[in-house]
Amino acid sequence: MFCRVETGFKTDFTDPEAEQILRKIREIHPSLSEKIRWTRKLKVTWMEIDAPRDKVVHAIQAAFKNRVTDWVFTGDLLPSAAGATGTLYDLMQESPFRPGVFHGIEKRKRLSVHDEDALVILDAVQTIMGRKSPEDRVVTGELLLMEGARLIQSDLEWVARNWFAREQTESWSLLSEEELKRNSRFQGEQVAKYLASPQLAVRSKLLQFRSPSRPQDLPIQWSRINELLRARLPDRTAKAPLCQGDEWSFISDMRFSSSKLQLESLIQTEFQLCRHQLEHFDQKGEMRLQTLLGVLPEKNRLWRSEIEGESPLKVRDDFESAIERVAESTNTPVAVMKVLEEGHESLPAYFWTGSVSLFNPGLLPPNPRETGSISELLFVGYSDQGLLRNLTYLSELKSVFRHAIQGEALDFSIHASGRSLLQCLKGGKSHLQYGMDLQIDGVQEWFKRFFESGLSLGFIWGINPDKREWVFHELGLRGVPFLSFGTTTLTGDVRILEGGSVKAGATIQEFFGLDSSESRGEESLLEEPLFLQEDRRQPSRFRNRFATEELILKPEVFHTSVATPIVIRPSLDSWSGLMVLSDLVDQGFSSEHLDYLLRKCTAMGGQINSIQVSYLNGLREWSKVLKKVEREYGIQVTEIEYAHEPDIQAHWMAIQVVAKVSDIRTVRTEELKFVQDRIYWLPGDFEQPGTRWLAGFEGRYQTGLHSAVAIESTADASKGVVDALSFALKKRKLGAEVRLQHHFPGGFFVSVSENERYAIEEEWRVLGVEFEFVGRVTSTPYLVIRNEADQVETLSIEDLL
Amino acid sequence: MSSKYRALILSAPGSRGERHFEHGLNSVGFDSEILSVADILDYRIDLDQLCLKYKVLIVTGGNTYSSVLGGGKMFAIKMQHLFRWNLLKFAERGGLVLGVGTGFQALLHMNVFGDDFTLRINESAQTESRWVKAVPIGNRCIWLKEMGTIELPLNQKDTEFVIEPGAFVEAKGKIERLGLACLKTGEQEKIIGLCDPSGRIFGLTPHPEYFLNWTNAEDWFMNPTRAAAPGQGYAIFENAAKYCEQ
Repeated sequence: MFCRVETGFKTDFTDPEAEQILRKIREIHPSLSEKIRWTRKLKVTWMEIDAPRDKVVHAIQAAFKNRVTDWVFTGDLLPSAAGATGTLYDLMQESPFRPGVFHGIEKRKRLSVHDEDALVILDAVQTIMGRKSPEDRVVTGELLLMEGARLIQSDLEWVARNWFAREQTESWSLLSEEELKRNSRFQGEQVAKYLASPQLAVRSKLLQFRSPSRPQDLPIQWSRINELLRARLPDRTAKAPLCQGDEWSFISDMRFSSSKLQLESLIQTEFQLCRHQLEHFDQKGEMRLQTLLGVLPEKNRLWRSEIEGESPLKVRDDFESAIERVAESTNTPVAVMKVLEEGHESLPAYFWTGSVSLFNPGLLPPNPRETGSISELLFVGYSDQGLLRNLTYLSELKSVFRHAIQGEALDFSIHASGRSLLQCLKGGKSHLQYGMDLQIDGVQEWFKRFFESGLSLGFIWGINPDKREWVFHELGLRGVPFLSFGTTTLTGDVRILEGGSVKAGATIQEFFGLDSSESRGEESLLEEPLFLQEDRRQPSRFRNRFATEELILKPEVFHTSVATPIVIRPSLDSWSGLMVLSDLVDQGFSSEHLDYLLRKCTAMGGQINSIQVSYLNGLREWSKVLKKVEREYGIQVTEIEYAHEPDIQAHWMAIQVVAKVSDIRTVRTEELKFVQDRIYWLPGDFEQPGTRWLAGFEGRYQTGLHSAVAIESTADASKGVVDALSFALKKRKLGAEVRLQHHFPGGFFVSVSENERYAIEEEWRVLGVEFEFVGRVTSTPYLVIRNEADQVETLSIEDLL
Repeated sequence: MSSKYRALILSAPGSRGERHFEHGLNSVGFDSEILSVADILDYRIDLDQLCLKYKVLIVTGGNTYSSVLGGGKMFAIKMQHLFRWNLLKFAERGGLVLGVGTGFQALLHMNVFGDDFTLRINESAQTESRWVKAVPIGNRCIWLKEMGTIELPLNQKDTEFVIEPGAFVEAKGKIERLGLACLKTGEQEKIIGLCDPSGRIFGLTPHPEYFLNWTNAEDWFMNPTRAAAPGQGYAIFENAAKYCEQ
């Protein structure tokens, strides 16, 4: 049964841990700490215990309940476990401000994170019940309960991000007062949402649930061949010479800089690395990149960002064509990220990031063969994980690879690293669709071992039988281990052969599960795909697939979802926010989610340049949200890729937001736009709350702003201030009536429409932003200035300029 | 001591000070043995075995099981539900029990002293690492016989002794009546040690095992002539040895 247990101190006792959080906030953010009037921290445990209710209740009582100090909330499991009502309401009663406005921040360990506390709790519960079950699951977390009438969402997010949750290992969500008072969070389906399945012990593999590549009933009885298997593994060479370290600095840099502890240096290194690549990109570099992509798991994708820059066109063209070549030869998907902004001087940036792919894109070649041919199937590579570091081997392997391609000896290559043999074969449908014979003479153990578990490093090659000897010689010469294990055929069957007799067999349709996929109609999809009825545009050349909840920056894993987007810095002057959405894990997608991502990207100052979206079976609802955002913010949303795969009964979307870090004073356009807009002056020192507000650190109504004009500090208003205003009014041939003082300490003129002024002014007051009403925009191109002595001076804008 | 009595030092993942206990107990004449939770299961030491083999049981302190579910809670669950040890019965049959730090908390969680008391996190929410002056009360506790004021190191997060607020008067009366409180701090008179009515089971928050030699004290160099003298924690183990000899 599913249950959720919340444990907190009784109202008779103080909560030192919650007080500690408050103390820290008070030191860093005094204005926020004033808003938090009361706080409590509760420990939360989500459990699924495979036992009858009475046993579970007994175990919870014995394990969680400290009769003296604690209250335990379990929904309806332990009646009157706390106070009068048995709910959090009892705890809220302790707040000195009643009825009060309560907020909750809940955090929990992410599904793929090792949860030591959960293991101990599971052990405790199982010890008390006197039995163990592999089905039992536990996840731990905490709930921070706060009271504060003036707390707004951004405050809570700030607390959650900075003081409560570690976003790399924990996810968090905000709970409203209604949710806290209700007991719906104790319901089974709510609890189940946060529990990892037993298969997710090490890494999140949520896709396994619905991946069509793992049909329920395998067409071939593979267990039948197990008894036939004997041991033999490919031998590895003992005398592989070591390669020079500097030659491989590219790879080692990639690895070294991806340390979780050095995120900043990761960004820097990657950027410099890429610049280096651009400037010294030659054939050798291309090969290195090719090898790198071969070494990295297939989940990687190549991002190519196009930025107007100062590098010579020739260099850039060469680089881009090389990238194209690499992408083609390694079957790596490429996403183009266009970052074109007028007037921005920037450097070209190329960077690599990865996303978990549903299928190996390498198995979907651009041009599937029309007719079959007979090739010899060869596994080339090692089974030893430690050999991933053997760069010599990789270099030799790549060298044979290139020679084999040049000599037309290689019909196809399937990237096998990290996948089982069965997955590789099933993935290589386009190459193997006409049938295959798998010989297990003498290699049964190898088969047995790798049929279900992953091959660590290598490829499955289809070799032209005419060039067989030549390839074998090349591989042997270079010490690359290989194993021949069958051939492709044209019989339309899959057969397992030993000693010339068939041990197991199936038709190719059964093997690839075509029957089941064809019978599955499109109506079985969760919702009608977005592009089903619309005109299909030309699909993009490279196909990308997105995972449900995680996005990999090799080799560290950063989790991203709708609630927790990540922002990386691909180059020194731009930020890139990434969000992956899937209906498998996320509840829904609203404009607030995207708003949050945009704010995160602009938090360091800057401006959103573009939003790119990729879909896999996109939903109409998602598109509506994006259209709404496009309308409201005026930012162009580009769909860089979309695909429709009816076989995959799930929907994904990946959003990338690119923001340019620019001077704070170019946050918005500088011209005054609309007649009757109100002009305010905000002080402009960087420490001022006004600047923080403009940069998006605080507040939420920045979008209501029509313009922001930077004003230098000046002793004489007739100079800089009037000039700045004149330039701001010139473009639309407008005028303004303003009241100016002689001495001006600098800052910003911002214009706000009459309708929005109340909301914005209120927010300024709440956030302590100083502001002063200066005047209004008028339709006639004259600047009417009143000075401190109420003298009026009227100047023609054109004359001024 | 002519015939050596055996002492069991029970350790768990995250516990500390086992070696200090071993050194202290061995130096007063015990034959001590450090066993982990897994060892207890392997050797199948149930309550009868425990009573037969061992005269003294030490429940060590430290951050056992990462203090998940509260300090010492998991340790208590293991003893209660996995080993099925009843420490009161062990004491009835002549055994001595000492719980230190979170080991003391484990004893509290096992309701050895009743279910109305516990230790809770201190106000700073930080681990307190300091020396406390402890004053024994009464003379029932075997471990504290004939001892005056002692000074012992404290290293714990949960140091505040609290009584069930719903039954405060009754619980307070029980402490007074049965003389459970056997150790208080010097100045503020906070309870830092409890013993059961038989005086054989003793739990305390400071760590006697870290003060076996005078040089363990912070200011030992102020009295260099005493450098070779045993520390005050040593006297506690000596009392246990004396009791076993009688």
